[in-house]
Amino acid sequence: MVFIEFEAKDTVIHRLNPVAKLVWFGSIVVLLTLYLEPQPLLIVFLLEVLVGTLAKVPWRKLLARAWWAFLLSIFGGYTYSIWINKPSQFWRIPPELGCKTILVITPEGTPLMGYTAITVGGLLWGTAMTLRVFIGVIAASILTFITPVSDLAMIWAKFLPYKLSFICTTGVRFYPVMIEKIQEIMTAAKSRGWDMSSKNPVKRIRAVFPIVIPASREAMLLADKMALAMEAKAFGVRKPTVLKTIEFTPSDILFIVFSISFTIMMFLMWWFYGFGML
Amino acid sequence: MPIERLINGLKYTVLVLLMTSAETTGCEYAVVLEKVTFTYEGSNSPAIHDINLKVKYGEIVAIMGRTGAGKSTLIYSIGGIIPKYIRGKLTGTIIVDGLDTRKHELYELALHVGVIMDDPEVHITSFTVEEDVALGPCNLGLPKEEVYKRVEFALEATRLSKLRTRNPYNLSGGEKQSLAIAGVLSMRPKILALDEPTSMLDPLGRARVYSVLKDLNKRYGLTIIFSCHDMENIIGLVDRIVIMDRGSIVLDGPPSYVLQRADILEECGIRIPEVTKLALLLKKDGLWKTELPISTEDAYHILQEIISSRPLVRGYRKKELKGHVRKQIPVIKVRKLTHTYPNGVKALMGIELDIYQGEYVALIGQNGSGKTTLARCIAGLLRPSSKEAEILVAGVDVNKAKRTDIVKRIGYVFQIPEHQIFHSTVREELEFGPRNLNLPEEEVKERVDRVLKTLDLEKYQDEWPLSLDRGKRFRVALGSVLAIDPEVIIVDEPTTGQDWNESLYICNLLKKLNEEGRTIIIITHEMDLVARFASRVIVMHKGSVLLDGSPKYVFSRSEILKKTWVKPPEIIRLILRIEEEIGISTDITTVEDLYEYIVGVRSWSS
Amino acid sequence: MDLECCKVGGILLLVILISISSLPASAVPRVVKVICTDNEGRALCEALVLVYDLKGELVFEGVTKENGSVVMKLNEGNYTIRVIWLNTLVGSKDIYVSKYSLTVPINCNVYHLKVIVNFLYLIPSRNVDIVVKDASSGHLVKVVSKPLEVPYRFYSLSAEAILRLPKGKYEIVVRGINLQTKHIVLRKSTTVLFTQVYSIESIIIFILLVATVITCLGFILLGRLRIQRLKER
Repeated sequence: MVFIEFEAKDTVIHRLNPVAKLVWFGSIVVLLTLYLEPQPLLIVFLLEVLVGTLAKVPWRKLLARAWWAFLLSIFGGYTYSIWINKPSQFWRIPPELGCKTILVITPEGTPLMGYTAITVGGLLWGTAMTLRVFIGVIAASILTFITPVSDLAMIWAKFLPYKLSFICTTGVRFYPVMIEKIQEIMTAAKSRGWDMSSKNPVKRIRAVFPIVIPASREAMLLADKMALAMEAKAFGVRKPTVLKTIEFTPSDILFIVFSISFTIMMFLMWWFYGFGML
Repeated sequence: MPIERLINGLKYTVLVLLMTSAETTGCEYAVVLEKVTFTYEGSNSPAIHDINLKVKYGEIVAIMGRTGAGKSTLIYSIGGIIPKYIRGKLTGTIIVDGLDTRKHELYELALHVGVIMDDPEVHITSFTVEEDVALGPCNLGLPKEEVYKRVEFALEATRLSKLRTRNPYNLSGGEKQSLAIAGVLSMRPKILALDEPTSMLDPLGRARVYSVLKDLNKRYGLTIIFSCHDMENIIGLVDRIVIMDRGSIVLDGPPSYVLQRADILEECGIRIPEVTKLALLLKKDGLWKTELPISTEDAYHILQEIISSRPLVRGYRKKELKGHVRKQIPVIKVRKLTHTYPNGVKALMGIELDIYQGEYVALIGQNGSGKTTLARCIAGLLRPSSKEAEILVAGVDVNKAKRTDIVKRIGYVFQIPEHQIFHSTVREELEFGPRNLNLPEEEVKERVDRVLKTLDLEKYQDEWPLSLDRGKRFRVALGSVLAIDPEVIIVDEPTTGQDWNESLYICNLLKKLNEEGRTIIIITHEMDLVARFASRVIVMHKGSVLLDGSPKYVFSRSEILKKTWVKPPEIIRLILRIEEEIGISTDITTVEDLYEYIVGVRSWSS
Repeated sequence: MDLECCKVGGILLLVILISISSLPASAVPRVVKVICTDNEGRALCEALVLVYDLKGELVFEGVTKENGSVVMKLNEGNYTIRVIWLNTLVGSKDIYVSKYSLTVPINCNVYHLKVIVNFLYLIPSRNVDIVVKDASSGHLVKVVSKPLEVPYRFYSLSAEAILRLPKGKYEIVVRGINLQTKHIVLRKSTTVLFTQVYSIESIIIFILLVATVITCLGFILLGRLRIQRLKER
């Protein structure tokens, strides 16, 4: 699991309304989709670190969980950046700067690869892509860390039809149960010499059956029994009573305004000045 | 808004009226079944037939019988699940709290009778205990105040008030089952129908659930009907025991009455208290002349009289019970085994252990003591977190060897056999293990044939494993490991959810394998079986070995065992008490042994 | 007889050669390319190039192209080339056109004036007009209409316009929602910074920035106060 689990802490961020937390997360996602350049992403990243620090996020634990995602993003981002070397790929950066070659990797006319080189523009792009993954993973981790699933369920219940929100809630609720069952099934298969380390693709596909069949069966049985149990609890009979209502305190409103104003400001800077465009 | 409040108020009034309807009719019985017969769709024979049963308000009734006797069918019929959600042909009348179950929807019946299944997970869908308990009343659209009132009641009644904000995923088995009960209780039914509520729980969990049921019955006057296999623990709890066999009720009465029919109970595959069994054996010889006892206290005084009147062998001397003594080269060697799970839980703390060829070892302790972790580390299924740990099985280091080398030496049978079963026939399932070892086809066939014969599965070899009953499914799972022919077999709680006969069969099977030379390690909570079959008992507590020795030695350390919630079998408690009284020491651990000593087949010796 | 013919031929050839070489060179025009650059070495396009002969007569008038060059054909002789930029003489060179083609680079006294328009140093004001007037005469020299460019920089963001002007005294007026004026004497390439001109987008962004900062601080302070109060209770 890449993201860190919820921990009940007494911080200003934890005390926020789930809507406020989701608005913050949504604003991060929106900004991530806009930018192709490191500078604005660094600003977003710093603000995210501020929120994480206020929430007392265990950074080491987060890094321990997500280090592979970060490594993958660094590898992926910078590998692809060697193809970012043509003037037509730059909108705002002057082509003479963007195409400034630091190191040629394969010359023009190389089969399959074509012309690849490490360029200034490519490095900027690669850094931006890496930062995007960093920011996304950290934002999602902060969200899962500060928001109990029951709060998310409350949001779903408010904005989605009851049955759909119940499906979402149940899915999340049973996710760790199913993971445990699947792990148990894998251990049971191992006890009879099951091995998934073969490089033969046919063998690998076959090796999945000892897991998939019992796991699917367990899931269906669980779902069937659960449906019965929910019938007995009068599920879907009438409109359910809503126990918890989402209340907004001044802190929540301030945080929402902060998130929205920051997002709009950054968006306008992108729109008017091309800030964040490559 | 005033209109909304009026509507909610009206709804609540109707619901309250529905709830009290049975009382106003003046009906004496909470549950009435008249000539009820049910045949599952696709089945030729009825699961229950001609059932006539009446349960009064405020009674607590246990339904007992072997696997397949019809207990669950009866419970689901009372709850209204049959025939609405389980298809089949139902005849007869079922009236629950004045309502005909066939004429009302399940949610309407839920206000009168709450049904709880054996797996508590299926009842729990929310992220906190409180929310889960509130789900039922919220679904009914009750006003908030009423919902909160019911939640408080349910949490209080099931002793979950302090855990209200806890995530259900982190609760123990007993707490989860209590939560399932609370979730149903918040609908305010007058009757609870539970299908094997304790079958998946450890002794601590069982004790909790029984205690909650007792409270619900005594303090709140709920009528409780539940099925179980656990005679010993429910004797003091229930008003009535109903014994079922092959779909019919064969016995129905208070525990004192039912237990006097011990012969019928044994025929129906029900485990009777060991002391009762002993008395039954002595009665046949004319030595026991009074009513059959149901507790150690009842048995002790009479036994004392009987034994003191029997001749003792002269020249006895007190034999000190010793702990485990080293015999030969160990087949399993564990050194410096420490394991901490990624969530920080320290499961094992520096275990040092030797297990010898041909031993039948019982690994016991409460849930969370480290039994399963230890077993899995030994089987190479779990890599210990400590790098210094050394685990050798038949000379092979399981932390370094290849999977195929490990499974050839040690096999592991899981608690839930369904996790190991995925083929469409029993034969294919048994072939899976040997095929993973790339054995030649002839050898695979030969091994599978041998295993089918050993486990008495020959006539089921072409059947779908999951169509078999629980006992046979376990045999299939055991067979799939046996086909690999390991020298050591670890079996994880093989008797969970099994009736006594099937449990005995399984243990005898393991004994047979042990006599063939295999080392057996069994993880179990059934102390009677441990006393009967194991040659060595290892007690785990908080990640360490607390006691290690013969069953008699271990069970005689009752003060130490109290820490672990391990209750020595009743017969051993009785034997120890007698031995202390008389001033002798023996190696008696079973009813049969004690009987033989009393009647003089065996002599009291040093 | 043969010897006599050869002698005659040789004399004729000699006469022809002498007569060719004594023909006046100005009769064949040569290609002359003038390349005008500004003080930074950048090509000066749309500059007026005037060529005068020794008598002071205008023999050529042309406008430089994008690469700052203009091509003309001149006869042999001495000429004066003058470059006019924004009605000001910015460069002049005397040349001699010989029998060969000629390329004449002229480095003109045209300087870069970088006008940066920001609001409070932080926020670029793009939607502004820049009007450059001659400080002495008050004549309009150049107008740059909105929107200004916001060029790529690693560390800053600003709305800029680069004007190329001849040496002289100028009044620069930047007009957005408000107006700001500065006087400069342009003797070399210079940067002029306007920090109090706001446009619509810079105002909006400034308001949002203030809102972000205030709400952030307010949220932190309020949260801390609340936790403190709860702890006290």
